[in-house]
Amino acid sequence: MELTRRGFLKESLAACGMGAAASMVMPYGWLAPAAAHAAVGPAGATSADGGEERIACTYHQEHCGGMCPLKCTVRNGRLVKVEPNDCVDDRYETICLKGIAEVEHVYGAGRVQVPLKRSGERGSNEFVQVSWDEALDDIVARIQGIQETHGNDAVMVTASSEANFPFLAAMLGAQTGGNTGIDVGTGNGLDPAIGFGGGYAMATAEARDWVNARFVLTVGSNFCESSLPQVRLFFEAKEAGANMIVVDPHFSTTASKADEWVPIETGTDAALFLAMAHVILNEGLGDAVFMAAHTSLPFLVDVRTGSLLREHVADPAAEEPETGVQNPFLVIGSDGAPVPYDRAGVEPALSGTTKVGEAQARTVYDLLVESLSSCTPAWGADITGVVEEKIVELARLYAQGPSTIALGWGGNDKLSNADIAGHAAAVLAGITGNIAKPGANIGVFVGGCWNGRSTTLGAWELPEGMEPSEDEMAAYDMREKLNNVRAYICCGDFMAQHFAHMAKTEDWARSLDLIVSIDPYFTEGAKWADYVLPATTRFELDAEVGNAKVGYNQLVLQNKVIDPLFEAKTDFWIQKEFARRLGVEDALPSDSVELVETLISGAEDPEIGSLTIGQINKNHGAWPLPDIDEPRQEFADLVFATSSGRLDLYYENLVSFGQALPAWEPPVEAWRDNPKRADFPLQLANVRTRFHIHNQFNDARWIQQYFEPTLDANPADLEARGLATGDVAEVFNDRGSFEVRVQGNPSIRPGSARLCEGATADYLARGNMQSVTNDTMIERGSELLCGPVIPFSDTLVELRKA
Amino acid sequence: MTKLAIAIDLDRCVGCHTCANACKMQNNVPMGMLWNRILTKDCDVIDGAVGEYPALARTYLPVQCQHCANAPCQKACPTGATYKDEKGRVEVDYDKCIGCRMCMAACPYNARVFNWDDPVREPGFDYGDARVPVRAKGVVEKCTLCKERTDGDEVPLCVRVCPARARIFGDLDDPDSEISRAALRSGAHHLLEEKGSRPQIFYIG
Repeated sequence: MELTRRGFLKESLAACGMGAAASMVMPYGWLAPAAAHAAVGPAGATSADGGEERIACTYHQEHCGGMCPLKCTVRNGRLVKVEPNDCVDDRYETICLKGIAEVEHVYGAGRVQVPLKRSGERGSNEFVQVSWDEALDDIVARIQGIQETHGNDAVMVTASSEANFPFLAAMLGAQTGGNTGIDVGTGNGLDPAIGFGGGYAMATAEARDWVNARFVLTVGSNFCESSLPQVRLFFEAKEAGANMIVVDPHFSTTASKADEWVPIETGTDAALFLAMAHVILNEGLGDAVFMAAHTSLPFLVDVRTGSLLREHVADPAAEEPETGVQNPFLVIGSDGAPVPYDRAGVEPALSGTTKVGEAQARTVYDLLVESLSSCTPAWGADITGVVEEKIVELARLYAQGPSTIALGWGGNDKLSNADIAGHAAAVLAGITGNIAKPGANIGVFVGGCWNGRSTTLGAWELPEGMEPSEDEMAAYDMREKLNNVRAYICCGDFMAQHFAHMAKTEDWARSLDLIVSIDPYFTEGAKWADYVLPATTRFELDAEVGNAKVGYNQLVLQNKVIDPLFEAKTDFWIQKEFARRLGVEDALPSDSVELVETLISGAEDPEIGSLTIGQINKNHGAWPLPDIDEPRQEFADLVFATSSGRLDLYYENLVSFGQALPAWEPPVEAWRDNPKRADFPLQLANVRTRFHIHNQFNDARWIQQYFEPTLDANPADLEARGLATGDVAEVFNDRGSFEVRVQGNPSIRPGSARLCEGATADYLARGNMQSVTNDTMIERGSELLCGPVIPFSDTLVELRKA
Repeated sequence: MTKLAIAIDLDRCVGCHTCANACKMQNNVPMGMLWNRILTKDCDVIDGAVGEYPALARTYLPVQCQHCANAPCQKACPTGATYKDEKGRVEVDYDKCIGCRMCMAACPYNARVFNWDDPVREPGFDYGDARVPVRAKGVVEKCTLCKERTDGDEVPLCVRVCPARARIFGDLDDPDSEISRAALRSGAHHLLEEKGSRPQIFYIG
């Protein structure tokens, strides 16, 4: 190795980040009074041995999708070790730096230790300690008062995926926040084509299938950071010979591990896909048999209205749209006349015109060819910055197959035009048949618990009528649209994590009558609450078990590891106390053990349903799901979950927006030639990192050893502003500003800057990243599967030395 | 003879620091110290890159005690506290360590850390493997190749937890072992080869 300078190794310790923690501002010392720490116990012994040790198994975060089954060692009542569980197949024995960091994080200074009541102005971050009874009595009394005056739906309850509050909204008859606008950008465009993915672009197979691919095209996904427990699958595929190419504006970790990195202009993934589709059709590389038999490309469209033509005219008053079986779509048969697509023996033409009644009809295929005609490689190169030859090469590689497109949530998904990219990716799969076959799949492959096999567990039945209110609108819209919500219970940090353009969120928070934060940690959102209630972490329970979930190809149990710390209470206990005060205590399970037994016994799969907690724990708290020897593969019969049963590439509901077929539109703000760039020249990417999960682990001291949130920009962009690594810069635009330490990093695309998600005020020099993020909701958003995506990264900013 | 060693596949290492945290936990390593660090090679920032956009390269480089066959630290130690044990591991006898830090100066890999003061642990108690001795103020410490685990049949915890399966542990004196085969792979190399320290941690890829 050419490492000759000893200084390199010497100096790198500092570079590796001991300085980071010391520079952190930790404003929450008062949350950790000495008395409360004493309850955890002082260090005491000078020797680590000699204590009572026991092992307890639980699982880690669903939020990253890893849900690593953990083997936890408890000594003298304290969590001292977190290791991979050793009871299941090696493939599922996973852990990452965050799971291990819990040894400190569970006891960390970021924990809310006692119930807190606001004592200053809302948002002033001034609180006094109160008892649980005092807090809960007052919260419930105020909620009842609000509901008597304004109705049940004047209360809203939202819970993040790490919180476990299945009953709270139903007990209160509260709203639940509606569409979230998060992680749905690409899926909004991809999923309607397949009838799968729920708007989150869930992949049609597991990443274990990548070894079967000749080509895996990763676009807008940093898999090697955001899916650490599954990262070996990336290398297994690469070593098996799959050509791993990563398209990303930045030289991400995944790009650095790939066979090739293709840099791209931010927010232009759709243009790349459209230009690739142009090449494939233009060069005759498409799979005509697949297109005719398994896609909507042969379907006939009324040229005048843009509607798909059906066997009979649909009843406009019908409550449900008719399925393809009830009212078949029409295609051109071998005699040139319109014929139902599902008639036996029909061989539809991909191309052609005909008349259906009075209507002039063309095929979707012809419309696609026409719409793609201008999307030449030269056109694509101009928009994306990817050279023509590379676009052609990618198109040919993809068409050859078997090829997989691996998408993500942390990249292009956070741009306002992400749905077009998802839709265009579906077109690529449709014209080449690269879908639902070994090595040929599409979607987001991140996170084993989402990507693996699934089974439905049971649910605790609440009494009839005990249910949430209908959502008036998405919570993000409540900031600006008239609505009935007066009280907001946040189980997780919604204020700073779920909404862009924070000034609007703050104004809304000031206008509410009651805000309650329930979370193990003191978050940015907690600062806006009237009450901050301390929840336990996943490791603390007051019962034998707390929950059962489907993890990565296995059922996993949340077993008690340690007793609740401080005055923290479990999510179950908190709900039970709400129920008692509301007079509905009997509606809930008697304890979390009864809840878990219900989840298991009600499982859809009879083998899982027959298991007992004892049996699962004999197997160290994890139980393999059936049939996991083979990777999950959806739609192997090529019958998709759409109205027609085919890959439906034509979105009738978007005709009026010009997006029935994907048509290039730039993102609303962060496009290259936006005149706004004169004032705010840099796009601010808001990305995932291995060090955090959104805002979680910001406060974890063992993570802070290596990392603090920095704004990374290309050294040339920093230099042009008189900035250098280590400086604090103000990041600003017309929405707001914050201050953060900057780092020169050539991995960053010139003209942009990168900061990790969840960068809140306690971990920056000043202010919150969300102060500048874009909350523009595109007009067609209301027609999209999950509503518009919040375009967090569709944000332009400027920097100056603070 | 036994010559325990670790091979690290740099093609697979994703720089995630899971090994570093596992090492810290297993060995009750105090705050401000690490026995196992992940460098971004030739970069002054973490997750940086070498070159100019878009002609870039990045290599993550995990560095721990290299358990050298010809260990400079051992030669520098005036008390015999640093020794090469029967399994080929470089170990420290904390009772014999007088805190002179000659070993730290001698180590070309900056792999050793020193307890300048009473160790500070967050959380405020001893964590990790109960078999690991607790070090006092005034002694040097470093990777032991997870002595307490590798005395028996367990692999070092950094090897056990690596999400990318980038680490191979084994006995270089066993010609049939996976690690002996890895040592023969083209591109297998040591850090600072020219120092002549003959490390038993080596890198592939």
